[in-house]
Amino acid sequence: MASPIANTFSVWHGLFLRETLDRFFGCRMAWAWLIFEPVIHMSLIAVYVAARRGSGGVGTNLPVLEWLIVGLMVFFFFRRAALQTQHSVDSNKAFFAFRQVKPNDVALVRSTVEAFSMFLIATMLALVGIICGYKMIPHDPLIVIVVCLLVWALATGYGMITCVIMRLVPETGHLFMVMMMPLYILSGTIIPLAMFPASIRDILMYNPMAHALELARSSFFYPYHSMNPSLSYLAVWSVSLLLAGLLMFKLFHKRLIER
Amino acid sequence: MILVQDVHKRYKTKRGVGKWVLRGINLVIPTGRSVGLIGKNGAGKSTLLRIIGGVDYPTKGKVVRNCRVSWPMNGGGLEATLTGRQNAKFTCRIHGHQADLEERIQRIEDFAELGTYFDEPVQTYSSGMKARLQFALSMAFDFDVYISDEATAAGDATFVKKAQKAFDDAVNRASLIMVAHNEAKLKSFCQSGIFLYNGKAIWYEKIDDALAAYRESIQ
Repeated sequence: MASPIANTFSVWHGLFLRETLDRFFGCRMAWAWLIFEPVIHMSLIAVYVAARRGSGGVGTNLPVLEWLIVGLMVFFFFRRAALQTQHSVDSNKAFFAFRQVKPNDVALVRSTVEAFSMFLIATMLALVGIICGYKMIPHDPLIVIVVCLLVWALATGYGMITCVIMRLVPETGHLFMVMMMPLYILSGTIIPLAMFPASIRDILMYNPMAHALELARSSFFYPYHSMNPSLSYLAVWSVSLLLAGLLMFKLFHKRLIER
Repeated sequence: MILVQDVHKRYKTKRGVGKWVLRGINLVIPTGRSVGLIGKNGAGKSTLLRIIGGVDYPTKGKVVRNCRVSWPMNGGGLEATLTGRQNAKFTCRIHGHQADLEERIQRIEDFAELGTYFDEPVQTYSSGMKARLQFALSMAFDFDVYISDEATAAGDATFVKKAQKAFDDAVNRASLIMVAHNEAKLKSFCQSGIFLYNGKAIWYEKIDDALAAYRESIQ
C-alpha cells in the first residue's frame, strides 16, 4: 500500500495534467485566448495612454508602457489564479468519486497550473518587448519572484475562501465578480496611487495588491518613487489568506464534495 | 470486511435539513461475498453505497473499511468533457500507475469495447456505454470489493455476460456490492442481499430471501 504522501503526489500529477490540458486545449484555441486576452487589454490601455500623453499622468521620466504592463500582468495573475481557484471544486466535481481526490488538491493544483500559464505568457511578452526595444528586464529579479509567489498565495487563499462562501451562499458569486473591478482600479493598476489625495492613499495602501504592484514595479524601474510598499505586509496577507483558505476547505470539506 | 455502524444520513436542502434517508444502519459485509442492495426508489440505496465507498459522509455513525474498496461506479468518476481515454489515464494516474499506464489503458480499452468512441468525449456516450467504461475502469485495479450502482446492470446482454465472467474469474479475490432492479441480474451476480426499508437495513444471507422480503413489502 502506497504512503499517503505518494498518494497525494499521484493525485497532484493526474490533476496537473488534466488541468493543463483543460486550460490550454479545453476549447478551440483555448491557448490563444489565454494570450490574447491580456494583450488586447494592454493594447487598448496603451492606445488610451498614448492619446493622453503629455497631459501628465504617470509622471517623471517613467517608461509608461512598461509601467502599465508590469502592473497589469501582476494584477492579471492575481485575478486569473483567484477565479480559477474559485471554480476549481465545481469543475472537478466528477473526480470526488475517488476517495483520494480532495477539494484542496484541485484548488492548489489548479492555481499552480495558472501560475505556469502566466509565467509562459509573461516570458513571451517580455521577449517580444525586449526585441521591440523596451526595457523589460528587472534590476531586482529576486523581488519579482518573491512577489509572484506571494501573489500566488494571496490569490489561492482568496479563491479558496470565496469558493467556500459561494458554496454556502451562492448569491455572493455576483458580489465577488463585481468586486474585481474596484480592486483593479484601487490597486493602482492603471491610475498611479500617487495621483490620489494623501488621505485616501493611506487607506488604499491597506490593500495588499497595491503593495504587490508597487513592489513589482520598483524592482523593474530605478529610480522609482513609489508608495513605500512593504514586502512583509504583503507576505503577512498572503500567508494568512492561504492558511485561512486551507482551513476553510478543511472545515467545510463535506459541504464542498456533497452533491 | 466492511463494518457499517449506526449510520444515519440526511441531506441539507434549500429549505434547511431534509428528512432522514438512513436511520441507523448496522451491517457487517464480509469480503468474498457479493451482495445485492434492494429497496424502492428513494430508499437510500445510492446514498448507502456512496457512504460505504467513502465519497459521502454519514451524518451520524461510521463506516470501517478493512479492505480495499473501489470508488462507487454510479456516474461519478467520469468527467464529461474528457474522452474515455483521458478519463482512463487520469484514473490510472491518481491510483499511482504511471509506470504501466499504456498497458492498463489497453486493458481498459479492450474490456470496455467502445471502439472509436473511446477517443470521444464522455458526454457523447449513451448510459450503457458509460456503464461499460466505468466497469472497465474499476476492473483495471485490484480491489477487494467493487461498488456498483446500476452500472454493471446497465450494459446490454453481451456486456453483462462479460462483466459476470470477469467477476467469476476474480471470485476468489474480489466481491461486489451492487444495486439493481432486475432480479435475474441480482441473482446471477450476488449471493447475499441487503434490504433497505424505511431507513433501516436488513441483512439476508441468501439473495432470494432478500428479494422475497422486498416483494412482500411492495405488495
